Amino acid sequence: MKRFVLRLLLFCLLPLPLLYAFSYIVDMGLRRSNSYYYSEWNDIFHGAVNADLVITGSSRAYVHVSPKILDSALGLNTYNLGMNGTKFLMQYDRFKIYLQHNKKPRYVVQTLDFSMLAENYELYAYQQFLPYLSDPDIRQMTEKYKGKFGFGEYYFPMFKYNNQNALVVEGLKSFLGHSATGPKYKGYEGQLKPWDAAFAAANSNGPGMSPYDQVIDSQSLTKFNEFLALCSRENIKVILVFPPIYSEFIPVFRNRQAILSLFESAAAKYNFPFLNFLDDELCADKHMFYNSQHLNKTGAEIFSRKLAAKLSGIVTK
Amino acid sequence: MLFNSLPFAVFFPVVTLLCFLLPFRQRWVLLLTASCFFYMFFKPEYILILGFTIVVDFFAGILLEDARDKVQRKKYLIMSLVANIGVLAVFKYFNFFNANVSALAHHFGFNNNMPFLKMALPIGLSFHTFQAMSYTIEVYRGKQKAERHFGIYSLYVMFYPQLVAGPIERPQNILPQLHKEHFFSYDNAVTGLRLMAWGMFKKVVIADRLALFTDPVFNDPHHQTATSLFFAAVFFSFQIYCDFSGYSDIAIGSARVMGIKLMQNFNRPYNATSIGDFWRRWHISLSTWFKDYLYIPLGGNRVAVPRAYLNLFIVFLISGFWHGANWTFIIWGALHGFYSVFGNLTAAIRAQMSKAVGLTKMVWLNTNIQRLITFLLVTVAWVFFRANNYKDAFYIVSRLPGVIGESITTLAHRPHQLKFGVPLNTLGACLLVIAILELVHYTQGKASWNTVLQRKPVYLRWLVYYGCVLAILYFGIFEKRQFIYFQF
Repeated sequence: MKRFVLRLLLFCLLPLPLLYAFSYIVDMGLRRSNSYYYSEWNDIFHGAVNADLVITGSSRAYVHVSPKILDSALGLNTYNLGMNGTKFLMQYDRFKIYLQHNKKPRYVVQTLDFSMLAENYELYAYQQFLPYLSDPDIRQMTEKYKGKFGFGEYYFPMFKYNNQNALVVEGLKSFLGHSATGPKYKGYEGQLKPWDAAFAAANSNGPGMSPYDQVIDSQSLTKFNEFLALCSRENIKVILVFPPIYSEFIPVFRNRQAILSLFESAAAKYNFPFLNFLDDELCADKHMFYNSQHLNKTGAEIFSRKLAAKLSGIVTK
Repeated sequence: MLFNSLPFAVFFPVVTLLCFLLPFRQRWVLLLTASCFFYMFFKPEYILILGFTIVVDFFAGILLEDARDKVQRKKYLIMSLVANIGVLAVFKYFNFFNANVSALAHHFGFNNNMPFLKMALPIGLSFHTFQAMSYTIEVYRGKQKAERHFGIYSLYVMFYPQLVAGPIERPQNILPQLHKEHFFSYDNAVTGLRLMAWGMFKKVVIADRLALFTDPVFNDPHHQTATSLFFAAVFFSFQIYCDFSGYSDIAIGSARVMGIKLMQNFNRPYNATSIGDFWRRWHISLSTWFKDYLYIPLGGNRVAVPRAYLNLFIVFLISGFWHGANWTFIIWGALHGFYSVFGNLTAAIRAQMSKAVGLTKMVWLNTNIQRLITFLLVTVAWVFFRANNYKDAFYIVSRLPGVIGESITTLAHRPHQLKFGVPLNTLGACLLVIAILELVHYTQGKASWNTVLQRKPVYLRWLVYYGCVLAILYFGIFEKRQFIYFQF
């Protein structure tokens, strides 16, 4: 039995140095990569952003606000930290990590939506965290979410890259200095997608979705207020911005007025501006959207110019 | 507890190590406690059902052995069978019967107000119930002495490697092994771990990867092309084989490490050249159970020919029903019954036809044609097994022949439009894992991997092991997918 246990231990331990080294190489490669998942995280962790104005939020930040337009209109260095598929808790965590590694911004444009303060258990696009899983902040940020990362992903070398062949190849290439270039510019990616036929089909025989009351998660609300208080304390001006939603979809949120009032009162409490684009003419133009909640590239760039015009009265160079 | 989970990766070595460190007299306590813990990981309260049948069958066994006359023995056997089948009837079949009675009553304008049972099916119920039944039947037949040690008997039913999905063991094989002291054996440990690794590979690398293709297709068959339905049907045949035989391999392997030999459950079933041959290779512990305890008592083939065919059909029908309380399983069983009866009826004619066209002289070709036909028949039956309902199953089967026309037309005119319903790399990965499986099966057909590996130098053996383990960790699908047969 002793011989067997020793052999088994040897069998298990022998490949570990190799696997750790391989995992390190892939991690390091991805931490230098400019590909889709990693360019913003790498900029953040390398302290390469240092923007005057950062845009935070979900996909409604990431696909709606063009830093290029804001940069030229405002004469500031802006950067989009929007995180696809996230609610506020995750966005706030990213913002805190940003502050640890970068110069604090003078302005934050926090984009809003009706469900941003809802509870969320899903870790969307978990691949973006893989090379940073050993970072305590990323670990703390991700372990709240159910099921995606466990003991194996945190401690067993390479297990986190299970079935992620393309990422491993990208990591190796990037480690050797051949990183792919991602589609985003300073975190923004305009979407050249046509109108989502599924939504249109759902609407062809009446309303696409039954109206419902969006439940607000108390923890998310507390953290939202904490975020505003933190920015206020740090002399960071937050501009709360509600980007356009396709007009036929707005009535789906039955308690929309209550949620808007909540944002308004939060902004008023800290004397922060609140810009609501739900009445903007963009909302009525289906050609500007690729689905009910997201503007396409044309719509996003028109919206960015409109936002820049409004911000020019708020920010100073 | 799932074999393909982290808790089992901790549970198994700890239990095995403790098992060999403890004095022999206390081992059954450890194994029984571990088995209870293993079972209670799913739903703790269901252990009471298991406990009930264990108590009933333990005392039934003793009473059977001590009974003075045949009438009394029969009475105790019936008592035990009623208790076991009663548990199955209540927990597995009651809602099915109730739903069908309701539908029938509704058809004739009546109402059935019988409430439905609101509880999930206890995991592995059909497996341990059948294993318990085989004990009392064997004691009744005088082929097995009644077990007088309650702990050992409980362990016979509950031994964790085969508790929830078999192999369905016979008392003659397991009980003597539980009474015997097993010392640690290097060979057993290596052979067991090899089998476990191969079982895990089949489950997480092959079966669960194929499920990524088959699940979306079977869950939405009406929006699929004939090509994707065809691939899904074929892939499901491999998926269910790798899922179930993978479980069996892990079960047999983990028992082997502890020195206990469980019966073989699969023997390359898709190499079968007839449906009868298939059932000698597929879920062997269940097919032999049905043969020993149902087919032969019904008269087997030692009766008039029509009655023998009826017996065969009944066994397959009940086998289908054993799998699940759903019409899809009953049709699946009936289909296999039909295949078997039809196969027997036409055996002579088919042999004559083969001879007439000269196939009998080309053994290789003849064998492979038979294999292909058997595989296709089995695949069609699996569609009923997997489909969400029998309407979907009939729909899928009706569209399968369309694959030929659809493929030819599309490949000739619009090859880029050949639609599979999933990305091509998913399809490619599925084909690759099946190719690996078949390659291993082909080599196993020549010599067992155990023997082949044993002859190789250490570095080569270890390379094979590392390849298997790394493939599991790196290419395995770890989405906490249950084994398909757990539901039975």
